Amino acid sequence: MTQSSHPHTYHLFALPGPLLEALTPRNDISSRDLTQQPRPAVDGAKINEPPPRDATTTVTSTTSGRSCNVCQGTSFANVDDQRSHFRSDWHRYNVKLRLNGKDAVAESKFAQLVEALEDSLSGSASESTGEDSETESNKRLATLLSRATVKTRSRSPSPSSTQRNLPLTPLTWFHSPPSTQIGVYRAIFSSPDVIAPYLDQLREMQNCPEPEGKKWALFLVAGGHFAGAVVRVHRDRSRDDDGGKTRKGKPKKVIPDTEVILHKTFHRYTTRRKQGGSQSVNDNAKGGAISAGATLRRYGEQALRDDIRNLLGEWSDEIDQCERVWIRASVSNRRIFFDYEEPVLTKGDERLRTFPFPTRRPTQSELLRCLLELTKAKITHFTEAELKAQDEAYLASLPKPKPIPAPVQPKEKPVQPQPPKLTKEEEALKEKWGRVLEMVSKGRLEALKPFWEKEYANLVGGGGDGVDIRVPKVAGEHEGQTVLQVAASSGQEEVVRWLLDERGADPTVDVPESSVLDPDGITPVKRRTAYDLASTKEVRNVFRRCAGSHPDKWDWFGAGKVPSALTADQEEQRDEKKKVRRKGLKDKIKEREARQPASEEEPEPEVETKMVGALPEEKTGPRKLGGVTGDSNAVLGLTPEMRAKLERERRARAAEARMKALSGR
Amino acid sequence: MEFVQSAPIHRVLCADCGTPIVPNGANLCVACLRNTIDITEGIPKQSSVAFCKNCERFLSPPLTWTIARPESQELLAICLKKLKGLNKVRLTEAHFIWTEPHSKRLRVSMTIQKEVLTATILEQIFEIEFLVQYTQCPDCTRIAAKNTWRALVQVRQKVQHKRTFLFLEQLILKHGAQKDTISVKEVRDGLDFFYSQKSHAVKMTEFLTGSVPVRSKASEQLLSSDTHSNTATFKHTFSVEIAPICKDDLVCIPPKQARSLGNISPLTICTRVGNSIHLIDPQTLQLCEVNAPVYWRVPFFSLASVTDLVEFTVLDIEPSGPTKGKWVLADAQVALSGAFRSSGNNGDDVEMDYELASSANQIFHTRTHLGAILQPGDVVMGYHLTNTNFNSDDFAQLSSDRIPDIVLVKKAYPNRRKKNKTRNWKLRSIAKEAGEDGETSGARGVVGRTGGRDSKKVDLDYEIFLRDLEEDLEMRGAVNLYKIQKDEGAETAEIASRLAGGKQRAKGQLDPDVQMTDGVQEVDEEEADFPEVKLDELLEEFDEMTLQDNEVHPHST
Amino acid sequence: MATRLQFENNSDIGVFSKLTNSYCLCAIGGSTNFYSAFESELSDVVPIVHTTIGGTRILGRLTAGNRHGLLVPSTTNDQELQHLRNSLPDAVAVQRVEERLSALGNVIACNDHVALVHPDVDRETEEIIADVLKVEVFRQTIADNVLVGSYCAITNQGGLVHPKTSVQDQDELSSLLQVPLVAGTVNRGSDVIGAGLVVNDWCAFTGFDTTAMEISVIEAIFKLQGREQTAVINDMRDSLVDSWA
Repeated sequence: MTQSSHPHTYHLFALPGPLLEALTPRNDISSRDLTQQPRPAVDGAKINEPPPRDATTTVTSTTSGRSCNVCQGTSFANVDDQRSHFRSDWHRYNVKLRLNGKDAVAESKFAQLVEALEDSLSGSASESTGEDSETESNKRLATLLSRATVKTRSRSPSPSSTQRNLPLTPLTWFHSPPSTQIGVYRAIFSSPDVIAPYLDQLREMQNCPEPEGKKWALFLVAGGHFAGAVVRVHRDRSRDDDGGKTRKGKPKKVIPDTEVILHKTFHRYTTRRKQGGSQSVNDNAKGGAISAGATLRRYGEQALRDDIRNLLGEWSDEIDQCERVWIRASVSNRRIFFDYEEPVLTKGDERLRTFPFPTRRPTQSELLRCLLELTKAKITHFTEAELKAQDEAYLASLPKPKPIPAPVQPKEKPVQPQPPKLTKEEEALKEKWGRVLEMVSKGRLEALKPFWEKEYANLVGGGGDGVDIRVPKVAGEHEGQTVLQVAASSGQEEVVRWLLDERGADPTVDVPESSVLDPDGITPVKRRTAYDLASTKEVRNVFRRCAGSHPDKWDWFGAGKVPSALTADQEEQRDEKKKVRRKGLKDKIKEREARQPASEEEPEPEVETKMVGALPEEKTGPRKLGGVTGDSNAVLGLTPEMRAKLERERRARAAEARMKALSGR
Repeated sequence: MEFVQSAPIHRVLCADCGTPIVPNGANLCVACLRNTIDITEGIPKQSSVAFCKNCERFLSPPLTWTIARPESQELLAICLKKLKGLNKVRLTEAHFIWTEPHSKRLRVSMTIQKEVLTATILEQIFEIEFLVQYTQCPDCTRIAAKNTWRALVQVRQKVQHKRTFLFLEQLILKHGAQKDTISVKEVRDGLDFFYSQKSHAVKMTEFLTGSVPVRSKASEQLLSSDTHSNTATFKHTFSVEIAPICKDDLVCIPPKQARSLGNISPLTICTRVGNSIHLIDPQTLQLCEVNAPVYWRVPFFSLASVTDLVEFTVLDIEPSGPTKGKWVLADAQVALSGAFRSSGNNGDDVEMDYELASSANQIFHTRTHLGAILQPGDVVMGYHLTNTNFNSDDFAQLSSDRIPDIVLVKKAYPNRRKKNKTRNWKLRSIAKEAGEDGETSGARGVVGRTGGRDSKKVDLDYEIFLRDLEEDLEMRGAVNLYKIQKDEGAETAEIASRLAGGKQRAKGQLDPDVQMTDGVQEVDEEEADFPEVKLDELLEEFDEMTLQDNEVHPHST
Repeated sequence: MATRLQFENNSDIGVFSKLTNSYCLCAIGGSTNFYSAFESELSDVVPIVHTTIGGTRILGRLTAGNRHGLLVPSTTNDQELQHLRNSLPDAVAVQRVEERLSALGNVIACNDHVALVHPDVDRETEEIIADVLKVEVFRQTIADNVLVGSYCAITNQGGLVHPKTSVQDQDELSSLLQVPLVAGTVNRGSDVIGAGLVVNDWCAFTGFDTTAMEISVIEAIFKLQGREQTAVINDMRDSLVDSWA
């Protein structure tokens, strides 16, 4: 019962043995297990806490002044608690909220808010979400419980996919059956991401392997202030008795463990008064200011960096012995520790940790507070039933999990890491393909020809496909298409002709599914070839002309999907027909004005209907400009911009034809 | 059972008496507040209201008299208006406490609130007694008294028409010169304005002197005199005569006078009448200005006025050089309007008609000052001097070769006029005297109200006056035009149609040919240069401009 | 002992003066009555300094201080600062504070151990307050007013807070400050306690309008009558709470 007034005196590395024995990770005691599990035979010695604290809680919250009227549902055992609460960020936040006429938030909510803030601010991928942040020294029962709930859910052995997204709290909880819980910062363990061995580690921590004891290094840098210390957090219990000589006259029981070995603080003028932010950040963002203050601050930053590095150098021996190195520094300040020649600490150091709770201005006292916060075990006392109830309440209060775009992310992931992996050859290949594709799509045939001759071997590489090689992945958007397809889709008839006639490109190659641009969500035709990709009539005519001139070379009409061949005779005939028709139309030209260009658009309507047999019949009839034309299929695979461009071109051509007809009169 | 302490209620001690109270703005208990602060301070507890026994109206300060039932909202409003200090407090409620009517007392109970100290609002209910004082309102006084006017201004103009007075009325309205007028009475050839003080009449006379060429004479009639105190009361009469020359009149100046006016040709046209008379010689563009004293030294009269104008058609016009302001001297060929209309009617008989029509078909050559305004094909109004006899010695003295056949005066817009287009503007008028509603002729207010004999003539004059306004920007500038409100639209349309009828008659008088040739003019387009009255020249209507609006009375005939 | 006085016919004496356990500041320009009232009460015990702050006389609202130190706003000029340093005892640290909320007297309420400050005060200022005044700093509101310095007066003996402060808030604050608190008024019902009252551990000065009733409350809560502490509390409780519970 006496413990109730001092519930926080457990040092992390000196937990009482019986308690340690009884601990189970909180997540293992899921609510189901609890009910089924027979109550462990716990003797009074293990539970050194008064069973339910709720009686006192209710009393304090209503009558005594030891409560907070702003943050609902808080009450404090003593004035110190209350005072520390009144200094907490949570309380301050609630005071501001209340002044703005809003309701106060619960501590858990506040923790989430802070986490979200930290996430958006830090931008650096920290090792685990559990390390992100935590409200400072608030150990109130209700809030702790809700925090514990979060952790339980997120770490339950068979979590559903939705629960996995629950925020991890920085504390991990252990339960000692009747009603004692111990919270430890996750970051303290050697592998914060893996859950299972926590308990083992916790037990391990109790006995110190090294003669010197465990040492930690703590560094805080912010706003030109620096505080650093190397502390001994744990010394061997057996030596503790005779180690009394180092700590002169200190009562053994009170602070048995932590001892500051080295410490140093200094301050330089670096932050811009009133505006905030460091000078270098401001310089990078806005260009160097030339004020005297700016110069001073730049000097201050430089000096601070040098000071810190020198200090690290001096302490390097001690730091090497440290088990954990805690650093609180902003992104830019972090570089002070790592970005220089022969740094004492390296970026990938296993021992590095960030503080899992907000820290204040780097001072000696703040360092001590942080140390205490880290090494102190948080203790709550809830019965299992209470825990269960609060678990459920918390779960219910959680926002409904969003439908997870899980399948998307893995898809993205493999793409992203690719660029850095490129070898030199790949780089060269990529660049060459890039040039080829650009020439093809821009229609620079003169440039393309010699380049193709020269680089043919390189481009094609070992693959035996010759000109029909598919564009490799590295080249980007046209991945998987052949050069012919690229040329057809970008409407370069000259290139297409050259590829078909001289290079003998294969028009029957399929277009890969993935490269079918499908902006409107229309399902693509099952199998498409280069002809289908052709964006203009001219290009299609090139295909058909080639089909006419080399009818035996490929399976033009079957696999190539070219509707019909086009020979010189046919073309002549067509021109003839056009002329005749135009003559006949002259009289009615005014009335037919709208129709004329449409019929020009599709001089062989019978061919078109054959090709797009699936399309409705009405397409062949007289149509207005801008309506769905026969080659809509070709338009299908284009971006909206490209379509607009085509459309414009088409209209321009129609207008030209009209003008010609009128002037020919 | 444990004693459960209930939540303590938050109280503070009253600053004065120490009673625990719920904290308020002043942190004083109500009793202490009451004792120290009287929010009714500064509000009189007794007051009086003026009541006219005759018409049973209350004086609503400062000047209006309103009819208010006992215990009515209006009366309450009047009572509250009388209280001075009420603007410093917030009045939340007020009502009458019943009193006997013959007690001549009104008792009002009111609830007021006032902020005292900081952020403390006190509320208090109290009573105010009003004494009903009998007085006589000015209206009743006027009725009761016999001779209320002390000064009279008789304005006269000896011409056939009333247009000058119509214009004068507008002028008076624009300058608010009628403000002190007790009443206006129409008499033959003019108006009488009555005033309660001599100074008002003098002011009116001065106004008239400043705006039109007048001569005036003052006279007084002794009403009573007190030999002991050597005081006397008079009735003053000012006789103001306006020069009988109007705009567009043809004037023949006596030769001697003409010589003194810069040796101007005697035959001139009056272009404008303001403070002085503006004359122009259309043959030479020579201008002269005759101010009132000069005029009244040797008065002359107009030979012909607007009603004598004849309509001509301009066949050709050729500017001959000299210009003066907006006037451009030009040689014009004109023919009587009728001449070509008949030829258009039956094309084959052109020559026959032409022969037969004799002088009617004659083409006249004349010089005109309207060179800048007229275009071939325009219709122009002018005086046909060759077939007119003037009974004037001065005219007779002129050598006949100096007399042109015709003198063109102004451009006309017959096609425009034919459309029965309602005007989108109207004029205000000085209200007529009370009790004359029945027998008036309607739209024109004070002038022409007597009806009877010349009501049609007055209608015609009014229409001509309105046209003048429309066609003359300068003249329009001197008067206030008002937009016609939507709801008045219907009524004014009616009036307009009536006026159109009058106008038709007017046409008959102005131009005998109009009636018979109307049919063939259908193809004519509207004159493009018709001077429209622009909307931005119009004013919104303000009811307080007149004492009473009588413009929209239905025509009684 | 609470003394009533006036500054140039104005009862808001807290605006023109500052009183702590180790010094007293008075504005220059008041009638001599104003000084002499302070002189007669304090002259033997603590120094009375006549000064301006930033050229103004409203030093009571611009400065904050206690036995350990004095905070002056950034508007204070060097001359004034030097004068203050010269006149105050050496044990009193004088510190100029660069704070946006420059009316320090309005945003800080403190005794020798604890300070309540406006919630928007800079962190740096907060640290300066803690260092110079040697107090624990809490960001608080009083009856939902952020100007804690204006709406309360606290000493090591007790505190008078805004009359609208709820009982719960009073409890909370009093446990935070570890002194008894009472809601009350000065200057005949004015809730601007800080402006109407300057007080230290053994004497108080109130505005001229303050009623006898208010003075009795003030003397009781600040223990200025030599009465026994618990008796005072019980007295207050009796009149304020229990009889109305």
